[in-house]
Amino acid sequence: MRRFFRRCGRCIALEWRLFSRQREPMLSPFFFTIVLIVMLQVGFPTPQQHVHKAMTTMIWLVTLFGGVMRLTRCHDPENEGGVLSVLRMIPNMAVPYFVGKVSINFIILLLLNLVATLLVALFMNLGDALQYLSQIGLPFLLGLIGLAVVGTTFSSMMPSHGRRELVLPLIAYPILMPLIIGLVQCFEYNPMGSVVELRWAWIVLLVGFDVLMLLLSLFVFEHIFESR
Amino acid sequence: MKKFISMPVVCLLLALLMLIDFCMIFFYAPIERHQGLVQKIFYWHVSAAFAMYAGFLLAGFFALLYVWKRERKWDVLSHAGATVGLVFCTMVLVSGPIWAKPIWGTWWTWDPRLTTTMLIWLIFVGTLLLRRYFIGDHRGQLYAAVLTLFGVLDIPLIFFAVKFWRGIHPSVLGQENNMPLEMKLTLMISNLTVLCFFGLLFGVKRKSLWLEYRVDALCQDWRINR
Repeated sequence: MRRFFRRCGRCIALEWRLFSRQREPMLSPFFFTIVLIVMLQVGFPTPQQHVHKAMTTMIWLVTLFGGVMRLTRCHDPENEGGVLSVLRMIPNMAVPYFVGKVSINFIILLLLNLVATLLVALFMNLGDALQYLSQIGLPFLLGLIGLAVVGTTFSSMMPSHGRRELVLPLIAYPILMPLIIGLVQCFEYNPMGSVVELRWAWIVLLVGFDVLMLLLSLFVFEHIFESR
Repeated sequence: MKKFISMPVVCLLLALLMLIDFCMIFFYAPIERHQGLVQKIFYWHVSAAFAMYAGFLLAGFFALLYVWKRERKWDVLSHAGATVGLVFCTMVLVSGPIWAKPIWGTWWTWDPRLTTTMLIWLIFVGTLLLRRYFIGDHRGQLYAAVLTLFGVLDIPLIFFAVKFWRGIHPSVLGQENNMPLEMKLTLMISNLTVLCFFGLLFGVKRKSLWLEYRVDALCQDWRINR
């Protein structure tokens, strides 16, 4: 067990090194997020009393779109130079590799989410951005875990497929639908449009989604890893 | 396995059952007082929904067996289940709005039940698309099986997600209703007819997929031996 955790830790550390070295593929989703925010702001001007409500949905959607853009290519480094073939030769490597990938993807998505929140708060002239962030924190964390798990699993199915940019969103978004609905619905707003409290039934649904998808991903990932 | 009944006989029996069912729907079951003749859609709409779930559950079960055992026959069965389930899901999605327009005054509304069905349809279209993207590549079967498993596990979650919404779609199961006996009997016959139709389509699709696989295998052998 200790050996397994040590392997997972090493995989996370290696993934972090990769993340810090590869600037361009990492920065593209961030840039895409900014473009999306500007487009949504221009396309759907929001009245001041609905700012909070619009913000939550907007932040979640831009994180989702930018995140899937990142997840599509998250297995690229291993495909170059036969790294994956070497990894496959090591016994019991699938799960640590998966844990490493999911962890680093979660961190990237979290950063993406933070950037999106700050930018949206700035563009929408929100004074109490930190308070707002603390209110939406828990559901967003649960949403990002689900997105990282499902995205990492599905993107591992098509690392060398020529049309992966087309295929991944097609198969991932419908599966992510409970997460998308849950995150949009889990906030209770007052008539002024501010977040008052969380709807816990929806939070339970988000937790259920994360647990179920994580267990299923751990079950299928070994088979996917060996087939690649 | 020895064949007891040939395909034309099965088709003939099914056609007879359908004829009886249509006669019951239009001449035996009473016309609903408020909704009128359009309510007759109900019998095949509900039965198609049952067949849809049967198809998707079969697809999920055989996908699990394929991921576990990696034998082609399970993939063929899973593919057949998903395809036929999708046919019935489409039937539900088409017949629903035709019924809804005169009753609710709108073709489509984001009611929980409608949203759920639409999402399930999208998920299973995804599995078929994935197979097309990996055509000629053995990994496509595994990936489609994985997606089917995710899809089947997602169905209860989607149900929970939409359960919290208030919808206008009536529930047939799990609620007491004062449906007349003639309507109940007609619904039962419709269920039987549609499930038999489902069985026939599933069998035909399974057979065609299996033949496709055999032809592929023979072509591959021929290429190797040449």
